Amino acid sequence: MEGQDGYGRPIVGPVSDGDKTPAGPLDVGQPGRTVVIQLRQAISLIERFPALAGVDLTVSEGEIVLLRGPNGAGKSTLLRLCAGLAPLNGGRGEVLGHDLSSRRERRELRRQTGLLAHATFLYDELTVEENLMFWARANRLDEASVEPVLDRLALANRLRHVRVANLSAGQRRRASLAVLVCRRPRLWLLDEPHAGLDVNGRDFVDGLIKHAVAFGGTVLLASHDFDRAAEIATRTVIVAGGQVQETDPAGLGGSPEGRMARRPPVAPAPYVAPPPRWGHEPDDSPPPDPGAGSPLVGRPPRVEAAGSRLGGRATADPPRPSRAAIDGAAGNEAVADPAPEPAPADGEGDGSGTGRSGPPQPPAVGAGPGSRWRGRRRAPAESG
Amino acid sequence: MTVKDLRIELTSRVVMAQILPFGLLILILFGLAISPDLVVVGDARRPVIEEIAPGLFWLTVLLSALMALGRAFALEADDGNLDALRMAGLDPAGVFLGKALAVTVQLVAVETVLGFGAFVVFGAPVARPGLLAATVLLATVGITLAGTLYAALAAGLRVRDTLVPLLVLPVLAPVLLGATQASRDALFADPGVPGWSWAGLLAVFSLLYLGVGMLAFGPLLEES
Repeated sequence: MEGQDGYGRPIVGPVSDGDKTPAGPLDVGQPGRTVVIQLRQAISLIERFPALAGVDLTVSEGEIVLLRGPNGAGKSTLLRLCAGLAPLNGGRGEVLGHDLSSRRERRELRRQTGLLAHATFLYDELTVEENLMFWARANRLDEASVEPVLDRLALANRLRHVRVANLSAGQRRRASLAVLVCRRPRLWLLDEPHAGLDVNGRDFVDGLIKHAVAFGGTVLLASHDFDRAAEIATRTVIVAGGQVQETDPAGLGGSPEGRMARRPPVAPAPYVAPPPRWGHEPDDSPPPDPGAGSPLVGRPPRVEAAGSRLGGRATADPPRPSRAAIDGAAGNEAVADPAPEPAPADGEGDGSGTGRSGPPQPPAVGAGPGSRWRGRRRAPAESG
Repeated sequence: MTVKDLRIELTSRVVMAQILPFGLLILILFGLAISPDLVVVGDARRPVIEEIAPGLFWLTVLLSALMALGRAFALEADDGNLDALRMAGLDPAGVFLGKALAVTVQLVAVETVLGFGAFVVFGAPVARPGLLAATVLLATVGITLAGTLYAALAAGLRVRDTLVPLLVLPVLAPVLLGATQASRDALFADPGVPGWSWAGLLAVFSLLYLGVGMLAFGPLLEES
């Protein structure tokens, strides 16, 4: 049951001869990147209703995949399935190297994912700070990591001592985001992340997503704010009737209206998004130290290396930005790479490393042989 | 978990401002419903209300405990916090013990006040305070351990408020029986009632549900 994806990469599917699961067409991940999510004919039931009725989806590390579809299409259930919360009742699924059909592995998976759901995941009777402290302890995180997150999300002053019950909807969303950031997940699952937020908050979410990806994260988001979400997404997946109806494998504009511009995948190596700050005030904080991690996203939790049973490759040490990449993001001249790969011919990046219009084309620092980076930039011939 | 639940109670004061007054109200209603002039025929010739005071007291505690347990898991079911707990990867046995300990602390506080209330309403003396203290402690632990387990079972259901009493009350029948008998001995030093034996039953019940709870809470949390 092998074939090739759109890049000529072999697809290694369910290999068991006795496997009765129909292997539908796979989405195309990013070549050379670790597969983070791989679903084949995945079925998930809510009571007896098939919220997901045979989903095929592959997401590679460093991708920002936008799930688009009408209400009730199954987007939220898909996110919950990838978080290890919804059961896999049929088909096959593997996320971050964890088999979704195993209850034990789903428990392991949950620690590495972060879900921003419709529910706030906050205790109304506790203050913002108490909530963050509790969830930091529950997630075995250093309590000292809470303070920078409160600061970055503009929760450090007046709002930190306010009970969640007394917050506005947007402020609650902000507090939920703070908890999510504290978790430092490898896989960000965002269900309507822009909902209820003002323009500052939406800009912050966009910056956070780019920042997370720059620090080795992968993002799957569902949003009805399509114009905004499409700006940052590297791929759009249409979900309807509990199935993936359409996919836009290389950012070619898969929306029916053709509104989505061509968008090269975000290359995590050469681009370090500055840590976002809530609001529009000038941010004079230094660029993140790759050794210490981002003040927001930080170092993703280390996971044990494990081969994917569905063909993906798990990583033992997620990619980290190089010093040169940070210099580039800070506006300094990046250290020249001895053998830079060609930038995508169709790239929209302006080279500043800070704009929304896609990644810049700096030298592919660290992408050469022996680099810790697993990803490689697409050659022009591969793109499209 | 325990600290968080107690902090929420300190903020919201649901147990102290609602559940405790509810318990006191029930005690008072029992006192009004049963005439103090009724006397049990026998050697002791104690008033009926005094004779049945331990049973009424523990019935009141059970009803208060149901409310406290419902409240403890409503906190987790609201706003998706059960999902967040699952995603945190906390040890389910730790969550079980934490929740049970928090409810135990709250229930002991309620029982202390209810005990004074029962003394005022029913006027029962205390012959064996040591046995009474052991009974209160063991019965409370038994109620909270078994109650926490079954409340977790119903936590994710929309009908949990009505389902929890149906699940918990039959299970807690041995606790009601043991606590009532041990309390009678503690109050009246009744030679016909082996108080410490009934306290031993409460201890066995608590140990049983401690083990079952620590083993079963994980799957329950998973499915709720």
